[in-house]
Amino acid sequence: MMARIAQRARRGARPLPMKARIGLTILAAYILAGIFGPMLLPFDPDKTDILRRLKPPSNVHWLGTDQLGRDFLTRLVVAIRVDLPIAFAAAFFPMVIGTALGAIAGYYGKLADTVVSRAADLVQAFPVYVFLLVLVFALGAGATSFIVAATVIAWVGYARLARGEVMRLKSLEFVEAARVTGLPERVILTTHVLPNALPQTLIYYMSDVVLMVLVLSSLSFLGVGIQPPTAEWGRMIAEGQPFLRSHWWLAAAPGLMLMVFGTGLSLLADGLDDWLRS
Amino acid sequence: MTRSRYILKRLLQTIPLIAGIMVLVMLLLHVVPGDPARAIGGMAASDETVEQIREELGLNRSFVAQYIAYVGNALQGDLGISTRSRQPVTEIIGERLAPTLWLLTAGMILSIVLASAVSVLAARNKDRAADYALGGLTVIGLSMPAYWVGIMLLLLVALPTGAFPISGFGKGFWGHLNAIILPALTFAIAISPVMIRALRAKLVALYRNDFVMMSRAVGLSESTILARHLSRHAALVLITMVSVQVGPMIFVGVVIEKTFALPGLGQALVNAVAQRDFPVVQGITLTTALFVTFVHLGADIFTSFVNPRTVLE
Repeated sequence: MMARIAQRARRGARPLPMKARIGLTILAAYILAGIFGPMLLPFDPDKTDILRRLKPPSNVHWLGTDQLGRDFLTRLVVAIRVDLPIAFAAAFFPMVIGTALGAIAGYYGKLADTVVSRAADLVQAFPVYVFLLVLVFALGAGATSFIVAATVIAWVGYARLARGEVMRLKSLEFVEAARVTGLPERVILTTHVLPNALPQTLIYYMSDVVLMVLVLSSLSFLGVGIQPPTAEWGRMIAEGQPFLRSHWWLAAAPGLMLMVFGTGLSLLADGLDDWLRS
Repeated sequence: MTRSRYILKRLLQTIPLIAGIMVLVMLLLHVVPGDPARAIGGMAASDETVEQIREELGLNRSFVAQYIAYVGNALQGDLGISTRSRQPVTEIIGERLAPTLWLLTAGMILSIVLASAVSVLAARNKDRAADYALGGLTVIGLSMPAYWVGIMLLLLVALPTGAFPISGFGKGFWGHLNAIILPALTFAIAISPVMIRALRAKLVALYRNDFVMMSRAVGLSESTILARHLSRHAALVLITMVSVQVGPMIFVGVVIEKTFALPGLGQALVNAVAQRDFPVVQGITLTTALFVTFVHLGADIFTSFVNPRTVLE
């Protein structure tokens, strides 16, 4: 016990790797921009002005205006409030459900394991994101449908991860010790086994959020995700594509917003992973 | 277990899987909020039209009856009729198949070439500048939306050089080839980062083996060691990655078809979605799911030849 605490303390004192710090900075910048940006920018993101359409960058409109005369910078920033929360939510619900199912399958085995594993096989037999696209379409385009559909397909990854971790952990001595003290199985699983599987789950969650923000923007690009006039990066890229010759930044900038966000979160996940392993 | 028994077992396993896939494809129509027939017909449709759609899709029968009818027809190559164009769904799929197969094949080849080259370069320079630079690029690659990469290639390559079409599939073999280069490159940029991560890790582990040091000691060149002793292990990782990634690959394909206006299955799917054409959506979803199932099956069988140990489990 003392050794474990000492190890924790050493771990706490060790600084985060550079990767994680860069990632954390990028993530913080997005969150701050998402919270305060729209308050600081004087434009209404959805107010169209046909007379001022497709203006190049100027002192008034720093990144110009889009094809409907809306301030482009405002829309880029306001979209943080759309893409980020939906992506974090779309990975959160599968994490909760998948981890619970995987932990039950891994801990109790037998029928529970068979049912969960076969259901996971079935979902994985599908081209999952095409299935997600079609499911969102069937449920009706929008954020809620996306989160529901993402939960239906993405729980599998978390379930496999939790199942493996729980199966590894349950044979260790401290679990045996907990059992000897007479704790009920349910308590052993939730308070002794699961907490040890959480760090890996959280790291997987971060890379899943990167995936989800890309899938969400792809669906919006295809016209099935977030509907106009809401500012969303994928939709903005689709709307900017016809003006590529004259106004290339309309399609380029939202992609950069996605790329930098994804890179930041991936670096944070990688860095934390290195930190926990070393 | 012998290999033939293993293959037979894997083949038999796909039967319940395909049955399950078809249940999910059928269920799609039933998760539509409210009345699916009304949703397809639209708010403006008359009651007779809605009733006709209901009749046509068999929605007035029980789910089990619908399922049996759908499976029975599918086995005879009948996936229903488009509610918009009145064309048989199998005919639509047949017409749209070529651009999709071109894109997937060319994209897959490019992905494997790119992933192999980058992984070997990174693993040979482990923990040196080149490795870190390639690792950084891989992380960035994982975060770029495929359609955006395509649009940037249009902006930075197609528009300035004028050598590639901005959209469409071209005419004749050379036209198709020319039209598929940028979409395939987009595909490779989107798909290879995941492959690179797995392959680089595998190669780094392989280079640590004593037999590599031994081979170097007896004077074999690096390329001989790679080609003769490591390539087989690396190929297994690539097969696994293709098998695991085939689902995402199909989605990336759909998105790329839309970006480059390639008249393939993906575009047909997106159009059918926009027009609420359920039989076409179901047919294409089923086709892609079957494709994924057979790729998984093929990869497992192939692996059983390259690495006979997998048969033992």
